[in-house]
Amino acid sequence: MRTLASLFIALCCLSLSFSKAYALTETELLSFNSILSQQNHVSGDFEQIKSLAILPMPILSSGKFTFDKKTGLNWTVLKPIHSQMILDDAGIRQIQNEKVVWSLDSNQPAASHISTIIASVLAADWNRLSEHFDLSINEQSENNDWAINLLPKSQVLLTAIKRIEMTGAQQLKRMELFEASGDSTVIIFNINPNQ
Amino acid sequence: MKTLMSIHLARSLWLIIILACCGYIITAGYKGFHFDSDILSLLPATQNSASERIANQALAKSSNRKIVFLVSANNRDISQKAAQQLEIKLRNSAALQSVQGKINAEQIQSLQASLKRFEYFHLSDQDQLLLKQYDAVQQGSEPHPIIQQALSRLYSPMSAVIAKDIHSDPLQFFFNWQGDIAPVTAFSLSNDWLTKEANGRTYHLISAELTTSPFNLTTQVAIENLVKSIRQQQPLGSELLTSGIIFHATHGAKQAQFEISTIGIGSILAIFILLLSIFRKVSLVVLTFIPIVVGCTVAFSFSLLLFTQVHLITLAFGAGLIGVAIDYSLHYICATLAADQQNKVLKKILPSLILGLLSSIVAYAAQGMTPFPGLRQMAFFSATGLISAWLTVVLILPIFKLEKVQWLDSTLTPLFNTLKQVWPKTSNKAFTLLLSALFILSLIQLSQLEINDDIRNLQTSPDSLIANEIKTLSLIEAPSFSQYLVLNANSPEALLQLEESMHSQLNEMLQAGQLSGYQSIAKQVYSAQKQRQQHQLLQNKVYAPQQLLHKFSVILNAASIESQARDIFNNSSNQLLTIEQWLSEPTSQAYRHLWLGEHDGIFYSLITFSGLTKEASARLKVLSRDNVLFVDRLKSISNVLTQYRSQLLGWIVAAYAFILCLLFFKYRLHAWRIIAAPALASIFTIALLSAIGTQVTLFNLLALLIVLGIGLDASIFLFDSKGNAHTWLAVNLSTLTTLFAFGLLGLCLTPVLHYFGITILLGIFLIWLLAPSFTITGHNNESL
Repeated sequence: MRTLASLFIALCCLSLSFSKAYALTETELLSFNSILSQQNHVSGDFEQIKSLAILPMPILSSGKFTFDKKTGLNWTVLKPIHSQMILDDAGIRQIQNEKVVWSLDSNQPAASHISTIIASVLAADWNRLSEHFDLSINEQSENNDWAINLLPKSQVLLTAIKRIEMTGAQQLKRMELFEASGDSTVIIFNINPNQ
Repeated sequence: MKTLMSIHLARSLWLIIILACCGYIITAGYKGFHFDSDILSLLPATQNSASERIANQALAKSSNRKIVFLVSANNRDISQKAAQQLEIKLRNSAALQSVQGKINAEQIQSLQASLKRFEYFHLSDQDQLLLKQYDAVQQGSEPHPIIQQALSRLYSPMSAVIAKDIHSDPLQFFFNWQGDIAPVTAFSLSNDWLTKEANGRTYHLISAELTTSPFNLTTQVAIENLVKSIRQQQPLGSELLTSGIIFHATHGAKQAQFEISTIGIGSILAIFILLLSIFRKVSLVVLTFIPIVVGCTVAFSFSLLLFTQVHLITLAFGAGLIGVAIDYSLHYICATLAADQQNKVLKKILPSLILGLLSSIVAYAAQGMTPFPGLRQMAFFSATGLISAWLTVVLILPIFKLEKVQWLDSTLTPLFNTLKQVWPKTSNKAFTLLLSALFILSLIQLSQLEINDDIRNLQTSPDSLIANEIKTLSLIEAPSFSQYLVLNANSPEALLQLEESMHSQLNEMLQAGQLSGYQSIAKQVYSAQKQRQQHQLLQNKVYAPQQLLHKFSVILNAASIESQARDIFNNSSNQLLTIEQWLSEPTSQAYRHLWLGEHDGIFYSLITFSGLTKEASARLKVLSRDNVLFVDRLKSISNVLTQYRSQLLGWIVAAYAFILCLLFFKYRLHAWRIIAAPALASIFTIALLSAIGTQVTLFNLLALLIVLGIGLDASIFLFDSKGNAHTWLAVNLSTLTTLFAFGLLGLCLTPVLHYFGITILLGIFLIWLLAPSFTITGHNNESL
């Protein structure tokens, strides 16, 4: 038992687990759901623009994705190279030629929590998001355009991500992650109409 | 005249010693008594080797002071609120020197920064393999898998968290290494707390470290009150689980304290009432008690002086001394009451008194020679107490002139004389036959005797406390400390290389599912040799012109990354991560206990395991060689118990043989009559215990030595006095007092005391039945 010191462990871990708890009031949840209701299945195309201070040009990639509440997020990059990633409760797995070439357990360090964030954003799971972010509606115009701001509640999460912005209309159109380093990641979604 | 002078001198000297002991106890009491309550200190030094000893000491030191609190509720918010309240309370306690609850961002940042300096000297296992296997300059359409992986992470949402290091580590080797060495943990960071979802509840983890040893009684009280108040004030619906040595230590100490007072007060009260009903004079009863009080006082002060910490169980066992130490006063007083000339009594019974004391001391000396530190203390305490009580009887009691008790002469003496006539004797054929039959039955029973050597018998904690601990540990999934490898080498470098040489076999077991994880320092800090290899690998296969770095930046179309990363690599410090440096980094916190440091010029370290299966234990045992030792603590302690038990039987036989020789000088061919009762009683006792299905342990056998020591007194006095009435009265009274004291010990929940108590209770009772049969027949008319 006694390596309780090893419990300090998770210090090295930046993994975040989300759970079923209710941080949003009923009214708040209603208003967020009226903007975009929770999805169990989402799929579509994406375009990712990664801007780095040290690079004159952003790193661009594009492909398609499928999110399913049960099976997790399948993120397939088609350009500039072909690569596939599965992000689910078990962690992150990178698949090349149908073989897992690299994986990260959900209780392992570093970036695995990003998968949970992306999945919750795509699913419009406001409850889950509100456990770790303060949500605020930035604007909501008459033609149904909206922007929602996510500010991390956790000091630890703040060391990686300053804030996240989601924008959309009928569907989620775009998310932007503002990183603590000053860089940013923009993902533009083209979500398939409800199947 | 001359003897009178020397008696006066001895008497004064003895009084001075008694007063000095009182003074010593009082001064020690002012400073506060610190009693040991660690049940493990009763156990023998099991270590067969320096490695095992060093490892056990270090593990005890690092784990003794740890406490884990798990707060849970079926609602995350409630659980977190409870955790916050708990952390504040813990931080306000002086009994805790550190508390780790909510984690702050600085801790995380310093952890991440701490190893970054040595990133070019450590590669993950997989990256090493990929770099060695693949030729970077191979031609073909597929990019190198390392490039492929790095790119796909950059093209995925993960880039939001990994791209910040792209200037120094574009191929993300450091990220991979960090992933490799981070402990696999059951808890993950959520809202800056270590949390876990299980059984429909959210658990929050808080760990703390005690300011003092968990066996410090002040700390025990402080923590007990703290936890009590936390439990009372915790938010509705939340639940607290705990794990830590202190909770068991507190329980053990409380139980022992309770038992000491119960046995002490209980036996004193019972003996007082018994004596009062026989002697019918308070002054006589008080006089009988004086030697006991002196015995306990002197024994306690000498133990305090000799041992740095007196064990609580020693005191509880010592409380049983009351029932034994009273024997000498009883024999003296009964003999004096019956005598016409009181001043000649002592001279008459002195040989019996001396033999009685000697036999008891021999028994306790045998106990004192065991490798059990706790038992040695008990033996010393008891022997000192007995000697002091004896000296008091011989030197102090004769000062007082005793008044005759009419009732004794008129009623009891005739009663015992009648008893003497009707008591079955060895000359009675039917009785001898019965004894022989019982003896044979007992031997048959003993031949099937199974002795339980499992150390877990000594567990004092109640089931609820154990259940709490087990639940906490299974939620934490912490590595076990009961089985581990101890490695040693002449230098830190050689030790790290030795650990590295073990990894391939351990990884094999991991893959075969024989263990779920292992913790090794060489995973965290590579040997200098391996670090140089890693750097060389990066130099040749990654950062050299046209190698991986170049290919990567071509694909990414970012030439600036290539030149910048190469510059940073080339200008990086060539300082290797040393073990000293690692120990001072915050990252090592979870693993520092594995490094045992230098002892007599040799360096030691541990490899610990989680989810170790039997197959793995068997394989690890085979791995043991000169400088690698597999330790299975439970097994090695149980082994010592087994080993010691077989020696003990020899000791018991030797003690009987020694005492028989001693008795031979005085009793010649009648010596066997003296030891027949204790010997038969011992055999009957163990046979009876095993027949009724009681667990027989090493400690039952040890108690047989005490049965011998105490039991001989009865035989000696009865034989010497030719079974006269006043001796028999004394024997009856002393048997009853011993039964009171050890009978209460038999009721103890502390296992060791219970085993001792129940054995002595039965043994002494049987001796009381048997001793007269062997000692008051046949020889009555012979003179010695």
